[in-house]
Amino acid sequence: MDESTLINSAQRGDIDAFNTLVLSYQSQVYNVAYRIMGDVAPAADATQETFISAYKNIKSYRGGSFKSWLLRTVTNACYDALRYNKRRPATSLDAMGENPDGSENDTGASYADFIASDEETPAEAAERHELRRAIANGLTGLPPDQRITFVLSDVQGMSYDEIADAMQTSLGTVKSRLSRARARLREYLLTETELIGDGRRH
Amino acid sequence: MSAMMPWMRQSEDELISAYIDGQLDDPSRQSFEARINADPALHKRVEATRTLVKTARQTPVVVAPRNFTLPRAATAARRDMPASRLGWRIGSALAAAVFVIAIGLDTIGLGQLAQSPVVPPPAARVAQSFAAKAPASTQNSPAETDSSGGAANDSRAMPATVESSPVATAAPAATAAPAPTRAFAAAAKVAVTPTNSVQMLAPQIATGTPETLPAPKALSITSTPEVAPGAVSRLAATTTSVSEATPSQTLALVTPYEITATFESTMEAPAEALSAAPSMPPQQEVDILRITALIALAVAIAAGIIGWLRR
Repeated sequence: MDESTLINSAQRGDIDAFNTLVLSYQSQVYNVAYRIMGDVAPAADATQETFISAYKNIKSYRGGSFKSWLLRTVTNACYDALRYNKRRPATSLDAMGENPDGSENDTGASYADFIASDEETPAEAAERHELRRAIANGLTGLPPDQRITFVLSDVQGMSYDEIADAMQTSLGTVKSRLSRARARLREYLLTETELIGDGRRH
Repeated sequence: MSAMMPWMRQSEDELISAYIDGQLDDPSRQSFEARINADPALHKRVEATRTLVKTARQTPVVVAPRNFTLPRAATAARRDMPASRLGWRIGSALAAAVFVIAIGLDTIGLGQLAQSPVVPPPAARVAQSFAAKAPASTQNSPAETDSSGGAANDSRAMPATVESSPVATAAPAATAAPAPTRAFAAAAKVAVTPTNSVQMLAPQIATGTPETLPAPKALSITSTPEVAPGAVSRLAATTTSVSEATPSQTLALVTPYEITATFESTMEAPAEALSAAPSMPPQQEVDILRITALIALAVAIAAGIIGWLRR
């Protein structure tokens, strides 16, 4: 059954059809939520809230990319949660899905995610791993708008147009938020760590 | 470049971001690359940003800790919800409608009656019947009630005239009239201009002591043609003193207005009018309306809160 048929069935109240869509998109939705929220529990809450909201409002879906529609919902859920909490996630050190000891963490990230690839030495792999953790820490200091934009663009690899659609804003705003987010993260990495720039260890 | 203003830095950051994402056209890219090669600090920022973006894009995908499929119970709850929510919305709308209607009646209709609680609503019909009788009385004794002298002679010819009925002869019988036959309603006619007349119900002016003084049977206030606008309110104020005057007085007052009143102690209100008096005073009716309005408002607020909580 293709996606449009599943959506039509879900719009008529078919919960099985909707759950098929959930299984197709829950990984992408959860990853976005996890990168934005920086922790497992709030990310899971945001993901569940996203699918509940999607089921309630699926009749308002008027075509287009269903993925973008879901990502718009999850970014709204995360944005609301960030504004509500105000406080930074307690476990942001693990927000990039890796544990220092290489064990599998509760997000399901595997040891294979951060072992050295064929192109890099173990030292380089360790440095990359440390850099990701630093980026995750720096993300928690960004305003929600910039944080979400950075995650959608540089972590999820979405285009400017997709981000503008998901965040319901203009292309210019996306570019502006992204450049500011990158600049702040860059300054954080340059001043708070020695992972990039002149202090980079080699 | 070290003394760069914040807006220049922001503009440069957007350039760096666009450069890394390959969003610059060829001339802009070549120009920016020339700046990068000439400015070590800018070169450092570009490379640091490039490393940041490259690292972020290599972030591994994490596996969701569980499935997020919805249970069937959620479906049932969703199907039940619209009907109940619709009920709350209808209830809220009805309560709001009752509130508005009650307030409207209070303000427009019964609010006027509340201002004259001593007069039952049927008095208006009594007043109308008296008003119908008044022209006949006028012809009986125009001279007795006309204090303006020659103006009385023109009263039939001019629209703005004084119309009156016998006054002095009715006064002695006023106190002797049995209570059930007394009517404290009469008609008052205020003619401000020949083409603009304001008719007031007698209950609004008959605020005297009904046991000793009957209200005017017919009260007419006539202005000279040059009466100024706004005289109606002054006339209304004058009528209060008219109603409190003794029956034997000739109520010709205040030039340029000519006011005459007729009292008739033996006026018998129509039996059906008196018998039709409501069992409940108007003020009480207004109170009930206000209580109903408050209850309706409370129900509307409660329904709104419950409906909001059930979303």
